[in-house]
Amino acid sequence: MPVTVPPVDYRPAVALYHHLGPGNESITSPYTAMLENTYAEICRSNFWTWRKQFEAAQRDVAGLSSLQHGWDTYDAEAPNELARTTAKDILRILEQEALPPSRLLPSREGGITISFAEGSRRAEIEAYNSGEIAVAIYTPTEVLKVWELNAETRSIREAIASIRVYLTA
Amino acid sequence: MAIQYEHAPITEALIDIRVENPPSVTLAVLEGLHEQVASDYPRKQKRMFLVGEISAGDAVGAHASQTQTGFAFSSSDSKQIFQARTDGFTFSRLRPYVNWIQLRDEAERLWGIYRQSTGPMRISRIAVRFINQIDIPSPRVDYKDYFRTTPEVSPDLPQGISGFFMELHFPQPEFAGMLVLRQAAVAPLVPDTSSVILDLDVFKEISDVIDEGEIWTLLEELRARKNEFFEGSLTKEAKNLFGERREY
Repeated sequence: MPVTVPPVDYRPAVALYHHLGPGNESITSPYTAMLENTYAEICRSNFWTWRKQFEAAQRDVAGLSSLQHGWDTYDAEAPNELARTTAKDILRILEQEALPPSRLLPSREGGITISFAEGSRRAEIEAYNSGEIAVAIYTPTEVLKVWELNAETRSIREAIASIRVYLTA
Repeated sequence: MAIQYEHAPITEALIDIRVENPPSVTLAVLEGLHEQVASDYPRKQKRMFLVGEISAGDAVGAHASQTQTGFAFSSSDSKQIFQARTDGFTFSRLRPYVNWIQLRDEAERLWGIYRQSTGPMRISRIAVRFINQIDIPSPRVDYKDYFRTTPEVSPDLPQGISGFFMELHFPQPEFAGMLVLRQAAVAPLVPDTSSVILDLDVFKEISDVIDEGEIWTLLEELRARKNEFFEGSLTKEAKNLFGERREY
């Protein structure tokens, strides 16, 4: 009987299409059609779409481990393991709260920036290499509020709620 | 009879109606729907269809070619989403799911707004879909303890697997439809647990003209069939995870 073991290199099910999809000549056309249909149906759901976005974001965070000091061609620190772990924890809470970020980038201040956008309203959560977390809400022309968080789940949830209120106001 | 669990594992419940719209239904027409629902669904995002990829947001990778198919209007807490697309209408309720009556009534209200603005020539497909995330409080589980339909691994092979995705198509001759069961192991959001998705998508392709009343009668039938498959797919041990069970 199938028994799970802890995943080592987790490949999300919805990535199946990308691994086996068009362009791979070993795939027969009926199989390609089945995969396309499955993929389209999976993506019609918000849950699966967001799940896919969060899995991509988690992979992006893991991928930042390859950045070197000075990655921006100036003198920026690369995100360290603490920043990556904090960012992954924040992403897990964001997924539970159903608020997918718009993008995720390394920060020039040393850390990782998780960004949100809704029209002209913007917000960011920054996970710094020091372990500190900061939140900013702003417009393209004005920073409206910046505050620091501790790494507790409750504190992060409250910040997410504030971001959501601002983005949808 | 319907069954409601105290902690239902439903992570998304949706009603989907696909249509053939007249050419006059442009993205501008669909965007115009937002004014009518903005008080309850203030968030507006483009619904994009990408080559091999779909996105709910504005930003897409530079590598992807994209076509906008419509808009997704979300409630301020992002728990309810109304998709208005050129090819149809979808109303989703995300966790926490409340009940079928609220889902159906809100879908009916929003469908009325969509239909009035777009005037579809034909309804081509009607679906009820419930996506359940079953979180099992152990990192190592035997799927057969929780699920009554599982991938069968040959006894001659190693039994440990770290992931699976299974899709089964069950014809529904009673109403000439189909039920697609998708079951997949996914990365759990909580450490030291296991998560499995049970995605039940029951639909009917429509070839004849269907009147408004028939849509909602058919949706009740689809939902009843979905419930049968949900109950029949899980063991007692799995259902014990969902708390008190109430029949109504």
